[in-house]
Amino acid sequence: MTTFISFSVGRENFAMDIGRIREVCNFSEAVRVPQAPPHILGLVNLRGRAVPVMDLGLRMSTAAIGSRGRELIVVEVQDDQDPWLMGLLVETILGLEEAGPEDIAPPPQMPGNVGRFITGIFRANGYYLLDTQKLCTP
Amino acid sequence: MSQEVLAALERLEAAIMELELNQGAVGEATAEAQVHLRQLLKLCMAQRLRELEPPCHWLGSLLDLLSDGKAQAGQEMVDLLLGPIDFMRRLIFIASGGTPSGPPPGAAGELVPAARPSAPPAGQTGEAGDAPAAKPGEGAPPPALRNLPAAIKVETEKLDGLLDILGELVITYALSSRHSALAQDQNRGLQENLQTLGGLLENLERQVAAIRMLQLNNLFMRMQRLVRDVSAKVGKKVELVVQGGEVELDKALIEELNDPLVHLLRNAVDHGVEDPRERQAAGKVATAKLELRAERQEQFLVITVADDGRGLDRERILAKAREKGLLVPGRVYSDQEIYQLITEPGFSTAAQVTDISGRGVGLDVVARAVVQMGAELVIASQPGQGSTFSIRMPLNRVVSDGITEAIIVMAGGEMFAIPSRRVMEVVAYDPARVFDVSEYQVVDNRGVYYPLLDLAQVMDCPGRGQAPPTILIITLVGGREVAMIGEELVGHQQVVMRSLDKRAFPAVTTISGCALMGDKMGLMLDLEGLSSHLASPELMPTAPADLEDFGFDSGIA
Repeated sequence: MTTFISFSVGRENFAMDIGRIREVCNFSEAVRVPQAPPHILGLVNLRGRAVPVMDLGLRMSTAAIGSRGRELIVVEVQDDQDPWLMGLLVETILGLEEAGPEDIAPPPQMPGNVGRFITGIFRANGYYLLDTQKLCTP
Repeated sequence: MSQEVLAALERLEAAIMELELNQGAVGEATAEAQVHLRQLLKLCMAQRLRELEPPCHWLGSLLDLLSDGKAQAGQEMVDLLLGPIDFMRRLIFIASGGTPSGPPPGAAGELVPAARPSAPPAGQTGEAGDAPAAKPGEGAPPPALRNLPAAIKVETEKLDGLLDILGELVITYALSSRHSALAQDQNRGLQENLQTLGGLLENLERQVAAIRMLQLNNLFMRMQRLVRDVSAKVGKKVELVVQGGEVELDKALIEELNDPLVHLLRNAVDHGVEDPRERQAAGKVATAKLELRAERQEQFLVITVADDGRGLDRERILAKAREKGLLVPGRVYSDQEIYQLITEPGFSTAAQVTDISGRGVGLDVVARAVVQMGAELVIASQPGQGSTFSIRMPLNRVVSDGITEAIIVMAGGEMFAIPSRRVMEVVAYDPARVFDVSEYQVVDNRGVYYPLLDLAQVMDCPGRGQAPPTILIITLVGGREVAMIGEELVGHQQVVMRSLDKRAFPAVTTISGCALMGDKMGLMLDLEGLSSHLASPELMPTAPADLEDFGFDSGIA
C-alpha cells in the first residue's frame, strides 16, 4: 500500500504520492520574480530557503488558483544534479488515501493540458493521480 | 541496506581498477565505471544516504574528465578515483555501527591501504577531486583511523550549512538590535548584552570565513600539468613559473577561478607564445616563459597570467573589430580599450582555430566568468615582449550564496537588493536634472551624465508608477555606470543571499537570486543580465564628451 495526499484544484480532486513530499505548509504571499514562467507565482522564504511556488491550476490549464490557494505542498524534484524543492499551491488539502496498484485504474483520455500530468485514476473516488516529477519539469 | 550499496561500490571499484590494468581500453572502462557509478548514486538516493552523494559526484567529475579526454588514465588518476571509494566504504562501515578503530570490512581492509599506499586515506580525500593527488611513493602511508589527525576535513556541504545558519543569525541580530522597542528602552543591561552578542557574531564570522580559506596552490598546482600537456600538444616549449600560491582565498572563489585560469593559460600557450623556431628567429630563448602569480595589491587580489610571447597585435585587433562592426566611427581608442576588444563575444584573432583554445569560445567567456566573480580582467601587452592578463578581484568579496552587504530599494512597490560593492552612490532624484537624449534619458549628477534605468519598468512591476521616484542609485551595470530609479531607500544592510535556481526560472536574466532579511525577502539584481536592457553603448552617451555631441553642455569647463 502506498500513501497519497489528496487535494482540490478548481472543481476537481487530485492525489499525489507522499514519497516526494517534504512538507505541507500555509501559504500567504510569494515574491514575484520577473521573467518567470506564467505558472510560477514567485518565491517564498521557507525557513531560509527560497522555494519557487507553482500555481497548480495554471500549470494544468484549468483555472488559476491565485489568492484562493491557502496551502502549499512542498515536493522534492529529482534531477541529474541535486534534488530541489518546489511548492505546489493547491486550494484545499482533502486528506490522506491508502491505495495499492489494484486501486488505481489507468487514466482515461483527457482533453487539454491536464492529461499530460495524470498517470491514473483512483477507482474508489475518481481522484486523479498526478505525476509530481512531470509537473515540476518543463 | 548497506550490503547492496557495498556490492555496488565493489563493482565500481573493479571498473576503476580496470582503468589501470587495461590501458588499451580506457574508453570502455570509463563508460563501465560511469554505469556502476550511476547505479550507486541511484541506490544512495533511494536509501537516502545523502552523505554518500558528494563522493559519488566527485567520482562523476573525475570520470567525466576521463571521458571528455581532459585527463589521462594512469596510476595517479586511479589513486584519485579510489580515494572516494575508500571514503564511502569506511563511512558505511561507521554508519552501520562499526567503530572507527576496527578494520573496515571486505576488500577495503586488506586490499586498498596495503596495495595502494598512495591512496588518500578516508577523511582526507579532499573535495570534489580537486585536491592534488598524493604522489605515489611520497609521504607516509595513511595513518590508521585511531591515530586521529590534528586536522580534519569537513564536507563543504556541512560548512555551507554552518554559513547559512550564521547568515540567518547575523540577520536576526541586525533586526533585533535595530528594533524600535530598543530605542525607547532604558535598560542598559540589555543594550550591553546585545553589543557583546554583536561582537561575538563578528568573531564567529571571521572564524567561519577562515575555515573556508584554501591556499591558491590547490589550484595552481594543477596548472603545471595543464601547461605541460597543452605545450606538448602544440609543439612548443613552455616553462610555467608559479608565484604567490600561498595566498589564501575562499574555497568557492578558488573553484570559480579554475575555468578562467585554465582558459587563460591555454590561450597563452596556444596563441601567446611562439614556437621554438620563431622564438629563436626573434632572438629569444627557445623555451617560452609563462608566469602565474597571485599578489595582494591593497584591497585587491590580483592573479596574473603573463607570457613572454609575441604580444597582442594592436593593428590586427583593430582591423578585426572594424570588420565585426565593434568600433564606433570617429572615436579614438586607447591601447587598453583596444586590447579589451578581444573580450567581445565571438572575437578571435587566431588565424586558424585549434582544438586547444576551443572553437568560437574565447576570451569573452573568460571575461564574463571573471565579471561574475565580481572581478575584472585587465589586459596589457608589449609588442614582441609578451602579454599579461590579470584578474583583479576585491578581497572583501563574498561568495554568491552567503552573507553580503546590499542596498535595499523599493521600485514598483516591490523590494530589490543591489550588492553594495557595485553601488557607487545613492542620490536624491531630481526631475529637473533628467534630460532626453534622442530616445533615451540621462541624468546629470554633479556634471556627470548617467543613463537612467527605470527599475520598475525593467522588472515589469505591476505596481509601477504608483509611487513617485525619490532616489537614484548609481551603479555598475555590465561595466557601465548607470542611474537606477527607486521609490524608496529601505536601507543598507547585511542580507543572506540565495542564488536563483535556473531549473525553476529558466528564462530569468535580470535577477541573480534573493536576499533574505529575517522574514522579509527581496530580489537581488543581476547587474550583468540587466545590461542587455540598456541601450547599446554606441547610442548611449556615457561621458560628458559624448553628450556635447548631442548639443549638451557637460558642465565641465
